[in-house]
Amino acid sequence: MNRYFDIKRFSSLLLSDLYLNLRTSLIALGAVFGVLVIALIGLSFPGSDPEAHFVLYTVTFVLGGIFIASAMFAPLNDPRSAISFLTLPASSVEKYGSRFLVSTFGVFLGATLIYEAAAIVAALIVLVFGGGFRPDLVNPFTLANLEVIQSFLVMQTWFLFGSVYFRRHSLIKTLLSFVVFVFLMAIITFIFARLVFFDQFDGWQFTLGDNMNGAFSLRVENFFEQLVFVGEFVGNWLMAPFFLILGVLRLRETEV
Amino acid sequence: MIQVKDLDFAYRRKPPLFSSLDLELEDGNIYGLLGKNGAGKTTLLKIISGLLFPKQGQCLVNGVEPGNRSPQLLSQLFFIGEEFVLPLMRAENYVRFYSPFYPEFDRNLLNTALDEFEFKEQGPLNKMSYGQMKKFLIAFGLACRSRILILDEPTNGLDIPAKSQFRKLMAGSISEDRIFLISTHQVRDMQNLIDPVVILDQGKIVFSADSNEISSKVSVEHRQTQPGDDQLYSEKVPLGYACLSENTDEKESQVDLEILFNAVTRKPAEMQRLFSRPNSEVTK
Repeated sequence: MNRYFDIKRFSSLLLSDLYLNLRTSLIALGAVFGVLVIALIGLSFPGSDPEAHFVLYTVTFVLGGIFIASAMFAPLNDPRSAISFLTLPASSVEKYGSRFLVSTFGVFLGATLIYEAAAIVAALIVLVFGGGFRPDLVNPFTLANLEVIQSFLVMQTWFLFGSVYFRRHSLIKTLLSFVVFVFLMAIITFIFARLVFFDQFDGWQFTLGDNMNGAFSLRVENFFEQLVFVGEFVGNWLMAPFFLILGVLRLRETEV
Repeated sequence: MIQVKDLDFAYRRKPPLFSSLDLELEDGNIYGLLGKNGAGKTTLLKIISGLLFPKQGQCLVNGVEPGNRSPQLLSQLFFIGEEFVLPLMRAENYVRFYSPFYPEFDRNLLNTALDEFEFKEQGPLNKMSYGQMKKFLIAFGLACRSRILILDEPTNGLDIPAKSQFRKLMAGSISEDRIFLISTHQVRDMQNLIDPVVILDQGKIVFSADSNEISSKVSVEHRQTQPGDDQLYSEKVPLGYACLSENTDEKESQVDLEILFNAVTRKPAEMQRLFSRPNSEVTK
C-alpha cells in the first residue's frame, strides 16, 4: 500500500466523491439545462452572433466550475463532517486529487453533455414551432475551446485552494484574493517597466518623447512580448502546480 | 499501543491545555477516559486520531505519528465523535462506498451488530434520528475491525436496550491486538465495560488504574449515618452516604466509578498517594 497514492484507494475515493456530489450536481445541471434551452432558442433566430455559442458554452462550465470548486472542501467548515473527511483512510494527495478531478474534468464533462442535450432540445422546440432542425452542437476540442479549458484548469486550482484555505465564504474570499493578486501584479509590472524604461518616465507618466524611433519601438514591443510570454508561462505551467501543491499542504495541516 | 510522551498542546490564543502529558495505552483493553467538562478528553482523542497536532512532545499510535494521517494508520483507526454527520445516502451505499477503505471490514459483523441494535432503517442516513445514526456508525466502526477504536460519548442518544447491546458488542469485539478508547460522562453506562480507567483533570492524567488495582486498593460502602474522617471520600446519596475508603482487608469489591471519579477529582492528594507508582508511565 503506497502511502501517498494508491490507484485502488483513489478510485474508491473518486467514486464516493462523485456519488456524494451526484444529487447536488443533478439539481444544478437541471437548472442550467433549463436556462441553456431558453438561451439556445433565442440564439436560433436568424442574425444571432455565432460567437455567442462559444461564449455561452464557456460561461456554462467556467461559472459552474467556480461554484463547484469553491464548495469542494465545504465539509471542512463543519467540525462534525471534517472529522469523517480527515480520518477517511486516504492520503491528502488522493483527497485533493479526487476533488480536483471532480471540479475540473467532472464539471467540463457535465457541462458539455448538458450543453449538447440543451442544444438538441432547443432545436426540437424550434422545429415544433416551424423552424428547421439545426442543433447548435458544440465541439469542445476546437483550438479556442482547448485554450479556454487550459485556463479553466489553472483557474480551478486557484478556487480549489481557496476552498481548502478559507473556512467560510470561500468563493467571495477567493474572488477578492484574485482581485488583490491582479492589483499586485499590475503594480509589480509597473515598477518593473519603470526600472527598464526609467529614462522614458516623467514622474509617473510614461512619455515617448523624442525616442519614438524604430529601434526604441522594437525595444518596447519586445519588452511587452517577453512580459506576456513570462505571464503566460507562469499562468499556464507554474500557477496550477503551485496551487495544487499549496492546497495539498494546506489540507495536510488542517486541524479540527 | 498508544504512547503519549511529554506532550504539550494549546488551542490558539488560549492557555496551554496539556503540558508534559504522558500516557501509555496497551493493546487488549477497553480504556475509559473520564474527566470533567473542559478537562481535555475530546482534545486528547483528537490528537490520538491525528485531527489535532501537538505543539511539543510526541504521540505515537502503533509506532506511527497520527498527525501524518497516513492511510495505513487511518485504516487501522476509527473515530466516532460525540457529534457527527452522515452523508445523504442509504446505509447499504455507505457500506459500499466506505468499506473498501478498511481492509479488515467484516460484513457479517456489521449485520450482526445492526441486528443487535435492531437497526431496520431503510432511508437516507442523514434523515435518521441521532440515536439511529449512532447505532449505524458504531456498528460500522466495529465492522471495520480497526485496531484502534475511539469513541467520544458513545452512549449519548442511545436508548436503554441499545446501551446494553453496545456494552455486549464492545466486550465481544475486544481482542489482544486492539484498543478501544471510550471517553464518557455516563460512567454508569460503562461500569462493567471500561477497564482500565484513566482520569484527566485540568490537562493532567491524575489517575490510571485497572479494575483489579482499584478494587484491591479501595472499597465503596453505603452507610446510613454520616461517616467520620477515616474515609478517603464520602458523599451524600439517596438513603445515606457513599463512602470510599482504603481497602485494608484485601477483600475485592466492585467500585462505583462515579464515586471513584469524584474522589479522584476532589481528593487528589489522598488518591494519588494511594495509587502512586514509582516512575509511573501514566502519571506525571
